[in-house]
Amino acid sequence: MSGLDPQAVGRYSRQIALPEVGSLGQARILAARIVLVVDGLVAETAARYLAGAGVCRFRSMARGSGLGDLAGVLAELNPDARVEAWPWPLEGTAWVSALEEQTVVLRVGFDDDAMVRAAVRVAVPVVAVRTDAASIDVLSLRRHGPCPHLCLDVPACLSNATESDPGISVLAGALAACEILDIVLRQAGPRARHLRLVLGPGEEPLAQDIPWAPECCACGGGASEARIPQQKLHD
Amino acid sequence: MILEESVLLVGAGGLGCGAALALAAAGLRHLVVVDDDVVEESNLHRQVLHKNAAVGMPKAQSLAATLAQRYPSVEVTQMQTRFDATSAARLLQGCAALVDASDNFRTKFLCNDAAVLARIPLVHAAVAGLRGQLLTVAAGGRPCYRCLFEDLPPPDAGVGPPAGPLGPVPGVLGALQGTEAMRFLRGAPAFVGRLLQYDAASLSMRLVRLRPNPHCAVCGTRPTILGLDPSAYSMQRSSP
Ligand SMILES: [Zn+2]
Repeated sequence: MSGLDPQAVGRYSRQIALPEVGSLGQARILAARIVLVVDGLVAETAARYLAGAGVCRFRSMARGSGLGDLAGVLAELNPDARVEAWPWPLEGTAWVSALEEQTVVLRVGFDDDAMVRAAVRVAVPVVAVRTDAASIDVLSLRRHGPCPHLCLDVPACLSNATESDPGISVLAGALAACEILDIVLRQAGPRARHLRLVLGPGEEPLAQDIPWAPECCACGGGASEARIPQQKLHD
Repeated sequence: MILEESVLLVGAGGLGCGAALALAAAGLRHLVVVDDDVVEESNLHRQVLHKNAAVGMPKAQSLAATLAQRYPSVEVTQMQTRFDATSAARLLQGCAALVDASDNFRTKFLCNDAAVLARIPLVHAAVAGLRGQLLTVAAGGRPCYRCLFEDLPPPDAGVGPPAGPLGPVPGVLGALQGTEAMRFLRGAPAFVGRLLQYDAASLSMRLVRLRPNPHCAVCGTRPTILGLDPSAYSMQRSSP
């Protein structure tokens, strides 16, 4: 288990023993930089699970009440976990600086073109989560797209939910943490994908790949010149 | 929306931490957590209600303390004991639902039998590696966990060095259990008679519909498990 110090080997032994992780995978988790583009219970839960699994570096771009004492909560779970507060970017170029050199972005809700375009431009995968009183969508976008805003007909399910069940937010946070680790372990992995879970007696979960549209203005043929909109973001 | 009923949580490990977080967030007032184990360093990557400094502490105590810090309105009763045939009926008394967050087959079968006999709803889950499953058993079963799996696996099944799971995988299944238990108590469960299978590697979930098994030893037409009296109760149906 070269490259990991003995303390990490002890703490993460059960993960390292998984063929999908190994010592190389655990080293990737320990080196990952995760951006939390939101506040609230989904982000708090995802951060708890990521810190537990070995992620040490978080950048938090919370608005409003923010994430409270997230740094304190995470440090009690994992003394190596650090949370860097980052000002909310007001336009596209600020998003590019905020996301550069980061490993994965967790976005809760999905109303933010400038963030997605910046992520596509700097090749940082995005995990976007949306919840309401009885459903969860997890969208997992790879570096350079596809971006669902532009490649998919944006389904109504991607708009920010008004009211969520806090238990479902905890579930969504754990699901997001799994998907973020999958991206970290496989270094972006195979395809952009979408899971939709509706909690109801007759409902079936939906798991699908997200197609890439070559004509997409952000991640399609002209993606290298992706335009970064300068407009102020809606809140 | 606060729910005044009590939920019994068997296990304060990876599933138990996820379930406790979801139950508390969703407004449960009383949680009874049963676990006779202590926190080990190799638990910390997935059992996120146990702080780094809790290594060596009883898991039930550690979970109760961290949960109370985050959700002060939840009353947690911690039982540092084993959920077995002797204690099961007593621990279930007064609880409206059982969440099976245990990590071994013997306890899973016992949770099922105890819940079916006591006519208390059960939310079962299990994880391995990057996968997990969940099943809700209505009061009295039909179908139940034993309808599907029937009997304990042979004793050498799954022997090997302990590996996994990936940290947040039991968090997903545990949070699903907590959410489902709350939905059950509010009259809208999603997974009664439907086995949910989750695979983190493919970001997928699928459902397998179950039918009641007429030969089930606990909820079938001629049940052979009729009580939990430790002298008479054996979860193993076939001779080993
Ligand atoms: Zn049965």
